[in-house]
Amino acid sequence: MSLEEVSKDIEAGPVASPDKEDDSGNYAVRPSLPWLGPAKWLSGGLAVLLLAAFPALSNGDNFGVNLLTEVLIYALFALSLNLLLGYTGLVSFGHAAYFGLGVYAAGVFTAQIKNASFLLGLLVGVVVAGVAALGLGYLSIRTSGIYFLVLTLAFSQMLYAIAFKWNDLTGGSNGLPVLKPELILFGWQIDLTDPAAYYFVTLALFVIGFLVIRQVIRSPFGHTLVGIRDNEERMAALGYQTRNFKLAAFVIAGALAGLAGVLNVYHNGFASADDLYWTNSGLVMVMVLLGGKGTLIGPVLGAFFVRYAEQFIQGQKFTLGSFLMAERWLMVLGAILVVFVLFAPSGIVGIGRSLWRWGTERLSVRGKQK
Amino acid sequence: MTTPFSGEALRVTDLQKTFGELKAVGGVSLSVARSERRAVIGPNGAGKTTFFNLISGALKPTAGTIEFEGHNVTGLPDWKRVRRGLSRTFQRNNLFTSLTTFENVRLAVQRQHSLSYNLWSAGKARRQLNERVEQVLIQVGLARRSQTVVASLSYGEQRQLEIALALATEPSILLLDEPTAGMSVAETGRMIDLIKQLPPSLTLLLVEHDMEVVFSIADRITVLHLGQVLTEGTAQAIRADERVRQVYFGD
Repeated sequence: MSLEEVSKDIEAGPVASPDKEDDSGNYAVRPSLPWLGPAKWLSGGLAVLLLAAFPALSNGDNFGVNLLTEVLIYALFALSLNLLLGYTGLVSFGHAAYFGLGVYAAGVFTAQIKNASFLLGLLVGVVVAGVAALGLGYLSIRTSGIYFLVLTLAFSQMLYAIAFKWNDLTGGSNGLPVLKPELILFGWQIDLTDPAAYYFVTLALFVIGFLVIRQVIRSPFGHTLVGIRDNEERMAALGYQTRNFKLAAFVIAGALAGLAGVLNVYHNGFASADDLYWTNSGLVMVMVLLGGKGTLIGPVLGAFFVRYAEQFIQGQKFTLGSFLMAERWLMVLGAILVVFVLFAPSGIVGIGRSLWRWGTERLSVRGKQK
Repeated sequence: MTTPFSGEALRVTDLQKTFGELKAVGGVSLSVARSERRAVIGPNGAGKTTFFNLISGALKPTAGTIEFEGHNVTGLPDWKRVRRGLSRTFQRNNLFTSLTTFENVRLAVQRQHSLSYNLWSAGKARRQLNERVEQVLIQVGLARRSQTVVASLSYGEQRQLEIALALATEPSILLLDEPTAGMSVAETGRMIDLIKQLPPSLTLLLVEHDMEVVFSIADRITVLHLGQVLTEGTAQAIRADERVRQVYFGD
């Protein structure tokens, strides 16, 4: 191979290859998924259009709009965890801490101040969650593996205990009612008590959060994180101070989880200690795993899947023995999780990839036969 | 900074490492000149690997000092030594197996170009980064494998990538930990050629079992035995040394 060929190789290389949209951690399949890049842009654009049109299409179905708002909030939450779990190899089991800090920081701020501004509440929530992630992350990343997992869990449970007991500030076990704040954008007042309006605000912030995560993982910084996930020892042997990168990832993930928390508290109009409880950390981890960790879209699909499957199961009337299935959602979720972990460890995205490869191979075979 | 720079790449003084009761390295001193090709050999259990890890910073010595180009680096962690120009390869391939060859080397180069914290990589910086990655791949003969996922490279190619990663950090001294370990005869020959083609200004410190490799690369050889320096000399002198024969082959 000549030098020119080599440099052509590079131009067509990872920077500009047709697969540059492939954000998966599973690089082994590259470059074997033709046309996936354009397909992703197309389907992504369509998905956002459909989501934007949903309130108009559903015609006053406030329940549906509220459910979808909640799904988008959890999708954002799952995206933030995936930066740690999927891209940096940090298994945090206390990510609800930063979601909950967003909830309580914005909640307490709004409860204390009359006519609080949405944007200011957002800023407070994100900054508090980010600063907490800096402090707690600084301590947590000194450990690894199971110790990291337990330490992150311990920190989140401490915050839960504080929120649960500190009646004066957080309302304790009763929770804290939070009025909808005011949002004025470019001199135009948006009524956040209208579910559709709140939905649009959530959708906009979700899209921004998604694009932020996408930029992070495609940047040199994101490549560094993947290197740490793959082989931290070798990163040190290349001159990387890996701890600082892990901390930076922890802060970005914490701040984005805080953003999701702020959206959640203004959506519910209520701050609850349950937002900080470890089951919330578990739920978002299940979303990441079912969707496909280490892939950009996986956590989003996972959040949609978990929430809508829950809705579906809870609407079912049939019984299994003396069980009413509608009351056994967690049992069903557990069974689904077992099946995925055993047979589809790359989650929904992994299944999608296999189908895409199968489909495009069939097409190319048929094309050759003609 | 204890001694002024004196054309020495590396000076090790009375280096010791004990694990519990075991004295793995028991007071080793040596000096490697700039652009020298030095091999450290010794029978199993001689303390070669421990010695190597002390130099690279993977282990902290119990006593003694390590000076690199006149600077005391004994207390520096491994990643800081790399930034000073002291880079290593691993005896067992230690790569980013889910990434492509290109992406492996890019990790080393982007750190060298101080891009690792960038959340945005603009055109020019990105072009320079990619060009440098390609240079390194050509240097070690892996340009054809640029887009191959490392897990699907042959064993020999993975060994070449080991060297590429270390070279991409632009070291002034390169520590090679058994570069031909586990290789076939043909692959070993290619690896020797590759090492011989490294820039003459680069200082090499090589730990190796294969005597053919040692004699074809090294200017000087240090023989370790039971954690101490048995002798040191040119390849010819070592080949002729009766004590070296004894520790390797018994009486």
